[in-house]
Amino acid sequence: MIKNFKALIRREFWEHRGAFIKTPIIISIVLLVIAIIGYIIGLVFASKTGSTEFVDKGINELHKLSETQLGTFWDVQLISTSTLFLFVLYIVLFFFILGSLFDDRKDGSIQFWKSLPISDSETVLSKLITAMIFVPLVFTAIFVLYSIANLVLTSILLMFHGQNPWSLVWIPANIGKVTLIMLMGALTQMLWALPIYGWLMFSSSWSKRRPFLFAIFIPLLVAVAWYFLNVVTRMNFAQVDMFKWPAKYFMFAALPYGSISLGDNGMSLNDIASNLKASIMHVEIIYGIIFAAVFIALSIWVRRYRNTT
Amino acid sequence: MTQIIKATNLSKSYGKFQALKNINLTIGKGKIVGLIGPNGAGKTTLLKSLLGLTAYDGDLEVMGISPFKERAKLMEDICFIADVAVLPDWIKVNEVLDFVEQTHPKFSRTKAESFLKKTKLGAKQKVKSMSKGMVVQLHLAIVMSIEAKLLVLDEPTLGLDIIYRKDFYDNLLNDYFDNERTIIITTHQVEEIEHILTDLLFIKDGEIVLDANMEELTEEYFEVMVSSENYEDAMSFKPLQSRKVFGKHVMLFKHPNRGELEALGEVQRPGVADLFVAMLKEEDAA
Repeated sequence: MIKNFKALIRREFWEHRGAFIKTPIIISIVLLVIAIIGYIIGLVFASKTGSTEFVDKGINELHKLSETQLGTFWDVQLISTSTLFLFVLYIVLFFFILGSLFDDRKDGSIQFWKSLPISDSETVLSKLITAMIFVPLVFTAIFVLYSIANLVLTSILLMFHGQNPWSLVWIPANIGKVTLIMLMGALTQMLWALPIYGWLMFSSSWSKRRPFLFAIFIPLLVAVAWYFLNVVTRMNFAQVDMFKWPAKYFMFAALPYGSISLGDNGMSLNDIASNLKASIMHVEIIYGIIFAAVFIALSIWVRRYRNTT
Repeated sequence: MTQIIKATNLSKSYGKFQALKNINLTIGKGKIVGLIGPNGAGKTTLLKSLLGLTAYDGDLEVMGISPFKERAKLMEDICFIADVAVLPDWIKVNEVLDFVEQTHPKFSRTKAESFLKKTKLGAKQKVKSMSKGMVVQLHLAIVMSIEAKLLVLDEPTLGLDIIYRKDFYDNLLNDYFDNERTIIITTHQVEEIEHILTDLLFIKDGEIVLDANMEELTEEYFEVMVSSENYEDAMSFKPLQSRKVFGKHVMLFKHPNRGELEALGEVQRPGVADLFVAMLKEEDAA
């Protein structure tokens, strides 16, 4: 049982190496390259104007900051990058799940998978667990590596200009805490996104040709029908409010930190952490889990009894 | 347990269409059974029932297990190749070996690797970069390394070059088959497999029209090369089928007495394909 799960999850990583591992690595590299290019542009600018004022000014600004302010400076950088990582993670998982029970039917390899002594529940659940736990962990791990690389790069540049990276970078930056917050963010995201994942999984197993269209249009149709039902029966044209509720799931799934403002008068890392804790306590999460459970059970059922070739 | 498969009143309908009609069937250990029938006769439905991939009415036991209820468990003792090229594009040779090794308790990796050594496949090679024949070699290497009691092959050589097709069955017979194992094969190229079959099942319109072993068949059915002068005589024996080849009539008879037929001309063992066509005609006429 456990052995099967291990093999099945590894299998997902073989198939989706690009999306699960290369994507966050590429984001990291792009961000680092952008930082280097920014620095080089600064140098070019400095050499053209004949003064190093530009660079010196920046360093002076850093020195003016108190240790707390320096901390905030790094928090803003790291938290916003982790927001980007979590957003991309959500997009990656969206399409992974959408294809998870469809791709092997499209290429016929379902016949091979079904010829092995693995139950359909194991197959479906392994894909869900991959999306819920393992891919977020990989993204977080690569985020940590990126953060360290970013700080090392900055330190090198600072040393190049005769600065002490220890006091400017390594003491104020909170990689550990930010990582913890990212993990909490990933958990929050996973809980809010569960009903979406459940629906996508069902679309993936149910749809005969175009899971994407199925996944998008059925909810749209329901929404439109619901809207007009309200318009007709209650003469209530201003029914925008009712879409706020489902929108919440999408919002937290895409941007789990919610709306945050960092900076001098903004939130501290602890504030974000307690916000995340609070958002997990919403009763909507329970509804979401129930919805997800129903549709995942349906996905297993369809995979077991209908999707045989 | 000498009976591998036991079906009693096995039926399956898709809406109004009855794909299988009250099939009764037993298949014993150590047989190589050819399941032959025209398109839409119910071959694939029958195989899918055996493999636990579809629900059915009636009773079906495969090695004492009810296939649809316990597919995953059954797959420990069954292997199947359904059509070719069902291995996923993205997988590498060593990955598929890893996966089967971890999930299949009766898989021997050493065996699979020794089969693969005879091919040109490399450990890091992706299925995407393989020809159809190579994919089948890989799939066959895996299947032959599983200690399964029943092997089900559904058109295993469809779309393969003739060289691979011949190798496929040679490997199967030499390296895999023994009296402890049972193989069920469906194919349109009957002539390729008739020399390895021990039993024949003809299926038509969801019914088994013939369930016989090859030896019985060769005692009852004969193909005779009848020359023109014996034509009238031969016709009185009511051949199932007659065709003209090089001025001689090749006739197919169902007859208990070989001696009587030998008087008409040279007697041969009939081909399964001819036999099948003749029997279908016989059915239609009846």
